[in-house]
Amino acid sequence: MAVCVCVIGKDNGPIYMRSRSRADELSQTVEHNLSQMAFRGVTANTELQYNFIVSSALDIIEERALVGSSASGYKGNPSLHPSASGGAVGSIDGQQLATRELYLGALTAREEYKVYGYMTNTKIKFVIVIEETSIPLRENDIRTMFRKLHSAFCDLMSNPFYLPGSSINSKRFDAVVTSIMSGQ
Amino acid sequence: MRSAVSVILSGTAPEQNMSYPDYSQTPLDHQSLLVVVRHIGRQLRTKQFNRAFERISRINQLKVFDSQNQARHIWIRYLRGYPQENNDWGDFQTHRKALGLITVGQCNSQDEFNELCRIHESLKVGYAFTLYDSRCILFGLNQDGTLYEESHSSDISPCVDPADDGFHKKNESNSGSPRDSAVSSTAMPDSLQSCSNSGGSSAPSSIGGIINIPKKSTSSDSLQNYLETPNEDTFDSVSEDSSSRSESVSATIQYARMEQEAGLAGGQVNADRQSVDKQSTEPKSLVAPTNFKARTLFYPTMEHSQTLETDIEEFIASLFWILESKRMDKLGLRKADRHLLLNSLCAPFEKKDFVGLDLESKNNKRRADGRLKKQLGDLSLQAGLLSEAISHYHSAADILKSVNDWLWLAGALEGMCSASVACLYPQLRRSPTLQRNSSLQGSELTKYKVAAIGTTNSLPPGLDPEQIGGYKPMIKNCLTPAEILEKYREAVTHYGKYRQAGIIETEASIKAALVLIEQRQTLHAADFLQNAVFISLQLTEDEKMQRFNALSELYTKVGFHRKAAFFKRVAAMRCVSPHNPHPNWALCHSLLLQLLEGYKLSLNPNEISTYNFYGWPRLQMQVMQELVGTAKRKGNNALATRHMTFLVHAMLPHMSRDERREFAQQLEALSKDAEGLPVPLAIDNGLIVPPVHLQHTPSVKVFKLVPPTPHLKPEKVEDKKLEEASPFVYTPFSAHRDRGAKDVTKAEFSWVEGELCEVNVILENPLPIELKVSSMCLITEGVKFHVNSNVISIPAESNMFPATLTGKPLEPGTLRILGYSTYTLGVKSNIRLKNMKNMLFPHIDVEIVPALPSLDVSTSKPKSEFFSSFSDSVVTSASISLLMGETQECTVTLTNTGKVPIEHLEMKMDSRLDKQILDIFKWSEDNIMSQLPIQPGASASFTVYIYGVGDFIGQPDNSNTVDNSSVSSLPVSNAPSVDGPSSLPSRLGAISDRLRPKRTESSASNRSSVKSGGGSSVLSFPVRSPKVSMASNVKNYEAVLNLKYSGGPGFKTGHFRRCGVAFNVEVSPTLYITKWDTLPGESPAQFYLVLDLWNATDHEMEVQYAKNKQILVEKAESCRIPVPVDRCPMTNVEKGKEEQACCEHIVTNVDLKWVLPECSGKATMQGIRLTPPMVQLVTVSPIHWEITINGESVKPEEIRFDAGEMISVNVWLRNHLKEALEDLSLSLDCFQDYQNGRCNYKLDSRFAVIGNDSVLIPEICPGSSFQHALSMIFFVPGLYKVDFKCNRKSSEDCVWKFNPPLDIQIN
Amino acid sequence: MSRQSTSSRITADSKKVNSELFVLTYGTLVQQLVKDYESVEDVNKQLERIGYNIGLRVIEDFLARTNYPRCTDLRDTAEKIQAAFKMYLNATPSLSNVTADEFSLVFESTPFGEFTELPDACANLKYCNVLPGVIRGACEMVQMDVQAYVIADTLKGDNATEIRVRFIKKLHDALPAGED
Repeated sequence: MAVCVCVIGKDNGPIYMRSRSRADELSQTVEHNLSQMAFRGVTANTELQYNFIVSSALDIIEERALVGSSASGYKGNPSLHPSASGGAVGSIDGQQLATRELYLGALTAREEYKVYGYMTNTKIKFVIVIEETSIPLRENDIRTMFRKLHSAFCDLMSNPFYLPGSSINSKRFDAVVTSIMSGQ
Repeated sequence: MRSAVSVILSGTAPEQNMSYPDYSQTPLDHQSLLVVVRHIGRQLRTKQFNRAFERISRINQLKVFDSQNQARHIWIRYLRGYPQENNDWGDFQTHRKALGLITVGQCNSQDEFNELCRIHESLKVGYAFTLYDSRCILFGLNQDGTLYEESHSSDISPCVDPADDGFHKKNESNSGSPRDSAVSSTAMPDSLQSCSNSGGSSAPSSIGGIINIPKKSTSSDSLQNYLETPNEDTFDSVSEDSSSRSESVSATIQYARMEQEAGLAGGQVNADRQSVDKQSTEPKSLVAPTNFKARTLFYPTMEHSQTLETDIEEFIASLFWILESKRMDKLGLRKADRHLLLNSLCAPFEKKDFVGLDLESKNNKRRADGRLKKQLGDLSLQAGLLSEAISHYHSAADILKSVNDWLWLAGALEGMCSASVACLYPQLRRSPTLQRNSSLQGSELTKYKVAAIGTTNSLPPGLDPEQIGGYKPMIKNCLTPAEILEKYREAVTHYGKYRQAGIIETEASIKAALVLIEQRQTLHAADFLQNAVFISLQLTEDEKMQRFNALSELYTKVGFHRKAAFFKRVAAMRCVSPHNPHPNWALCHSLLLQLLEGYKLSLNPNEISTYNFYGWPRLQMQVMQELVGTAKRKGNNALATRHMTFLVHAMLPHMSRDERREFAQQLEALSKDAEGLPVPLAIDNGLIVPPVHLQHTPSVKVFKLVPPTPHLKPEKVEDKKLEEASPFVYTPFSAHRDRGAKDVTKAEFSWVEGELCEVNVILENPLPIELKVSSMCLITEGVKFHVNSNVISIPAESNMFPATLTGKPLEPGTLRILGYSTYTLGVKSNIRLKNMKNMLFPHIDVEIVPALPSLDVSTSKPKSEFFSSFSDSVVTSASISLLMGETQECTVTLTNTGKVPIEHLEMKMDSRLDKQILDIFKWSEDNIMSQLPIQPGASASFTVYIYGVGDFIGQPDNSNTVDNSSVSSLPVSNAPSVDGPSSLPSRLGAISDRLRPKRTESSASNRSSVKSGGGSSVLSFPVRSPKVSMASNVKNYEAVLNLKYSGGPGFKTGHFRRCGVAFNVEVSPTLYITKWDTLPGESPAQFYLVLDLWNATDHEMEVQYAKNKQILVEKAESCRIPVPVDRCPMTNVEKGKEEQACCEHIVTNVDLKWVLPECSGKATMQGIRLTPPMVQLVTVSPIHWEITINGESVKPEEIRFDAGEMISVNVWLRNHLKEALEDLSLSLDCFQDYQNGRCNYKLDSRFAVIGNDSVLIPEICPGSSFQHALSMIFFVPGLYKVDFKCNRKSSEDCVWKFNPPLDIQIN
Repeated sequence: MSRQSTSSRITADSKKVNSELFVLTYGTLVQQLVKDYESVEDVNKQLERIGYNIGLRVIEDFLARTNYPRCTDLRDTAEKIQAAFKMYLNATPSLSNVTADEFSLVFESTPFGEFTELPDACANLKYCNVLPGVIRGACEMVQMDVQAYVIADTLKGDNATEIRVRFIKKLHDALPAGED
C-alpha cells in the first residue's frame, strides 16, 4: 500500500509531494519518534516525516544514478550480492538494475515501510513509500506503479500550460496518484 | 529479520552489556594495543595533560624485532577513558582489553604524591583483569630533588611492574572480593617469586634493548601472568581454581626446564632490585606508599621531559613482550588442555550459560578450540603478525561454523576482515587529531564543521583499493576487497542474533562502513550504517545523541549529505528531547547549524539565492524553524531573530499564505525581545551569522528619482557651442543613448542643495497582513545628505503601493544613492540597489548644485482659470479684461521664498502673437533692478501697464482693416463739390441743398452718384445691429512674463532658475470710427476731419474730440463729429508718401477721449486711410492766391458795382513749394447761383471780359509769383459769382481754387 | 490543373504527422498566445481568426479531394463538415440537434486537448476555438455566411465539446469562377 508519492525535479527539489497522512503508520520507525518532537511541543506531522524520509532517500538515488552512469568498481560484480540477506542488503538487486533501467528498486527498507525509487532519463525522480502490510507487494506491482506515474508525468509534460520544472498542480496527475495510493 | 532471530537466540534480559559503542573505532584498532591515559590529581592543568596526551599518542606505532629477528609493527591506541564493561569484552576481542594504563599527574608534596599513588591504584583496579602494565607520570618532581629519581630513570627495569601488577591484583582482589582470599594468598608467593627473577632477567631488554635474551624472561613472566588468568576467571569454584593452578604449575616447570642461565641473570638483577628497594625506602625522597608498586616516571616539567617518549616506547615494548608471551603460551597450549580455557573464552553475557557446562563434550572442545584459534588470531594481529592472524581466523571460522558458535564465528570473520583491511588499507588509520575531534566533548564538536567529503568519488586516486592491494606485499589468503564486504556482512548478520552483542554489531557495522567507504562502495557502506541504525541499544539520551551524531558523521563520509543531515537533526532533537533530564539547547543549536549544508541551506542570504531553487524547501523551513526555536531556548534572542529573519527572507517564495502570515508575526514577536540589526552575529562557537536584510518585505518594484518641478529646476548657463566644439561628434541624443547603454547611473537632472529631494518607490507587500514599515529612508554616500525617514503601512498583498523617500542634500557635489533601509517587523535592513533584481545599475549619482533662491510670484489681478501651456515654468497667472483703448495697471510681487538672496533677475515678455504685445504691456526694468537684491523672505513688486489695443477705425464686424467701401462711399469725397458758404453749418446745409436736386439728375457725373451712395450709407447706420458684431470683437491676448533669476552660491556657479507669469488679456470694443471724411476748415490752415463714431458699448458714452468739444453717444448709436485739425504741412515729404504722412499727422494730432461711467480711454486713429483728394485737403495747398479788384484786395463779402462799370481784377499766384509748378492754367468762371441748387454758367450776354479769361502759365518758380490782370463789365444787374481756379495741364484732378469765390452785386 | 494538384496532395497524404506532435504544436501555439495577449478574450479572438484563415484555404483542398456536389441543405453541409473533421483531424464529431439553420458538432473530447488542463487564470479560454474559425472560413468560401462558436468544452468540465454552427445567409455575390 503506497502511502507517499513524491516527484523530484532535476535539481533535487520536490515538485510534487503527496502522502497519506496516517499518524500511526510511522510511529514505530526510529526516525519518526526521534524527529517527532518539534518545537513548542508541536509534534511534526507525518507529512513532514515523509518529506524527511524521501529527501534522505535522494542520497541513495543519486548514488544509484552514479552507479548507473559509471559501472566501475566491483559494483557490477554479482558475486557481491548474496540473494539471501536481511533488510540491510535488500536494496542490492535494485542497484544492479539501476545500470539497466529507470527503476531503482528499494532504496531503504524497514519493518514498517520500504522506499522505492525510479528515475527518468531526464533526471526526474519518482519516489514511492510503501507501507509494509501483511500481504507484501511484489516487485512487479511496484514497477507498474512507477510506470503509471511515469506516463502520467509524460501527459503532464505535454500539457502546454505546465511549466516544466515547476511544482505540479494538476488534477489528472492527482487522480493518477490517488489511484496508485489507493492500491489500484 | 534480525529482530526475529535476536529474540530467539539471546537469552534473558542482558545483564552485561557494553555501556555504549565506540564510534571512533576502525578495523585497524583490532591491530592495536589499547592503552588508557588518565589525568589524575587536580594539580595538573588540563592543557598540560592534553599536551602530554598529544606527545604520548604520537607514539602510536612501534617497531620491535622478535626472537626470529623479524620486524613487528606494533600499533597502540590511546584512549582517555575506557568503560570497564567494554573491557570485559576483552576476551572476545583482545583489542578491547586495556593492556596498559598511563596516569598523568602533578605533585608537589609528599601527601599529594600519596594521593596520586592512591588514585593510580584505584584506576588500575578498574582494568585489573586485563592490565599488563602501568605507568604513573608525575610532573613537578625534580630529578635532582632526589637521587631516587636519577637511579630510577637509568637502571630500574620495567619488569618490576608485571610483578607488582600481579601482587597488587591480589591485594585488589582481597579488598574487592573476600571470597577468594585463600586463592590469592596461595597464589601470591610464586607470583612474587617469578616476577622477581623475571624482572631481573628482562632488565637488559629494556635498557640495552638486546632482543634475543628477554624471550625467556618475558615468557617466564608471562607464565606468571598466565598462571593468574585462571584465578581471575574462576572465583566461583575452588575446585576449578586448583585445577587451573596445577596446570599453571606444570607450565612453570616446563619453562624452568627450558633455560637456567636466565635464572642467574634474574638473580643478579633480583639483587640490585633489592638495593633499589632499599634506596626507595630512604627517608629523604618522596616515599611511595608501601602498597604502591606502579612504575612512576618523574619529570620536573612538561618542557624538561625529553625522556618521555623513550619511556613510553619502553613501556609499549614491555606491553608487547607480555602480549607476545601470552600469544606464545596460547600457541604452545596442548590440544588436550584447550577446552579448559573455555571459561576464559567467552563474552561477558555467556559466562553464566557456561556454568556447569560439560567441558569434556566434544562439541565444547571444538568450540573451545575454535575460540582459542580466534583469540590467537586476535593476539597475533595485535602482535603484528597479519598472515598468522588471518590463518588463525580462517581455521577458527571453520571450526566455529561447524559448532554453530555464531557469536565467535562473527568475531572470527570480523577479525579476518580487520586483518585483511590492515594489509589492504593501512591508510585507514586515523590521525590522532581527527580521533580527538570525533569524540564528542561539547563545543569541540561544533568546530567539527562537516568536512566537505563531497561525492563518494572524491577520494584521492592513490587510495583506490586495488592499487593499495597492488603494492602491498600480498599476504596469503588475505581477503579480497569483495570478500571483506561479504565477510563483514556475514559477521554483522551473526552478531545480529545476539541482543547483548548489539554494541559489537554496531561497531562492526561502522567498521565495515569505513572500509566500504574506502572501497568507494558507498551503497554498501550505507547499508551497513542503515543496519547500525536499527540495532536497538538501551542508551541514555546523551549517548543516543552521540550515536546519531556519529552516524551523521559517517554518512557525511559516505557522501550522503541528506542522510547525514537527517541524523544530525535527530541527534539535535535528542539533546532537547522531553525524556532528556537536562536538555542542552546550545548543543542542539550547534548540531542544527551543522546540518544546514546537508539541506542545501546557508545562513548567508547571498548564497541562498543560489541554493534555494534546489534543496527541499519544506525541510529547509522546518530546520530554520527549529533553529529559531533552539536559539530562542538557549537564550540568544538576537540569534533567534536573525534566524527568523532569514526564514522570512529566504523562504518567502516557498511559503503558503498562512505560513507567510504566521512567520511574519513570529518574527515580529521575536524582534520584540531583540530587534534585528544589520550586523553579523557571532555565535559562542565562533561561527559568524551574516546579517539578513528583508528585501522582499516589502519589495521595491520601482525606484525612481524625482526631478525638481520645472519652475525650480536649476539650469546652467553653459553655452551649447562649447559642447559642439568638443571633438566628439555625437548629438546629445546619441550621447544620451549610449550613456543609457553603458550605465544610467547618472541622473539626467540635478538637485539643489538645501532643498527637499524625492525618490518615488513602488512597494509590494507579499504578506497577507498589513505591513508596517516604521522607517524607510535612503542610503546615500558622497555629499552630506539629511534623510528623513517616513512611516509607511502597506496593505496586505498590495503590489502597487507608492511611497516617497525624501532627503535634503546639505552641500553641493555628487550624491550617490546606494539603496534604502527599512525597519519593519522589528528588523532593520539595508537593501542595496545592486542586490535588487529589477535594478540594472548598482547606484545612482545625482549632481547637487549649490543653493539657489526660489521665487514666488503673485499679481494684483485675479488668476485666470486657464493659462497657456507654452511655458512649463509658469507659476501664476493674471487675467485682465479691459476695453479698447483703456489702460490698466497690474502689480507683480516677487517674494524670495528661498534661503539665499536673489541677486540677478531678467524679465522678458513672450507671446505667440508678437508685436502687438509690446504695445499692450509696459513696465520699467530699472524700477525692478533698483530693488535687487531681494533678501530671503523679502519681496519686491513692480507694475505692468496693460493697454487695450484694438483698431477703432472701420466697421465693428471687420474692424481689422479699413474697408475701401467706406472710403469710396464718402459723400463729399470729391474736391470740386466742396464749396458754399464759409460758415460750417450753412455750408453743410448748402451742400445738402445742392445735393438734393442733383440726385435726380441722371447726367452721370460720378461724384453725384457717389454722393447719393454716401448719403444713403450715412443714413443707414442706425439700422445695422451692433449686438451681433459685439461679441465677435472681444479679443484675447496671451503672454508670459518670463523671469530668470539667480543668486547666492548657485549664481556664482552660473546656475539659475526661471519662472513665468501668464497674462491673459481680454479686450472688448468701445467705439468705432465707421466713416470719416475731410472738409476744408474755417481757415486755410485748418481742415475738418469728419468722423462717424459708433458706440459699441452698452453705456452712454461721452466723447471729447477737441478742446472743450464733446458729444454724448447713446449706446449702440452712432453720430458724426467734425474734428478741427491743423493742416499737415507737406514740407519735406518725398513724393508718394503723402498719404502716409497725412495719416500719421492725423493719428498724432487727433485724440478722441471716450468716457464711460466707470472708466475712460483714448481712441487712436491708427489705421486710418485717406484718398488723394482727402490728402489734398489735409495738406496745405501749394498756391497762394492774391486778388485785387480795382486795386483793393478782396474781402470775403459782396462787392457792389453798377452795371456797365468796368472792374479791373489782378490775380497773383505765389508758389510756396520747393519745386517749380509747371504749365498750369489759370481760368475764371462767372456764374449765377439761384440758391436753388442750380447755377447758371451761360452768362455770355450778361457780361464781358477784357483780357483773356484763362491763361497758360508755363511755370512758377518756387517763391516767385505770377500776375494776371484783366477787366470785366457786367451789363445786367444781379448777383454774380466769380470763381478762380488753377490746375495743372497734366492732371485734371488736382485743382486749386480761390476759395471762397467772389460775390459781385451789380446794380 | 486542380486535378493534378489534388493527385499530388493525395500522394503527400501517405506521410502522416504524429498526432502527439501535432497536439503539442497546437498547445504551444495557444500557450504562446496566452502569454502574448493579456486578456483571454483576445486569445479566443486570435484563435478564431487563425482558424478562419485556415478555413479559407483548407476548403479548396477539401473540395479538391472529395469532389462533392454542392450542398442541398444545411444538414448536407453539416455532414460534409463532419467528413472533413474525419479527414483532417481523424476526429468524428456527432451531429446533434440539427435544425433548418443550425446544427451542433459534438466531440466526446476536446480536439487537441487530450493533455491540456486549463489553469485557473484562463478559465474561460476557448482552447479549441480554432475549429469554429475554420468552419466559418470554409463556409464563407462556398458562399455561406455562418456563425460558429464553442458552447461546451470538456476542458471546462462539460461532458462533451460542442461546436454550434448557425447559418446566417447565403452570399450570392462574388461567385468564384468555376462555379456553375
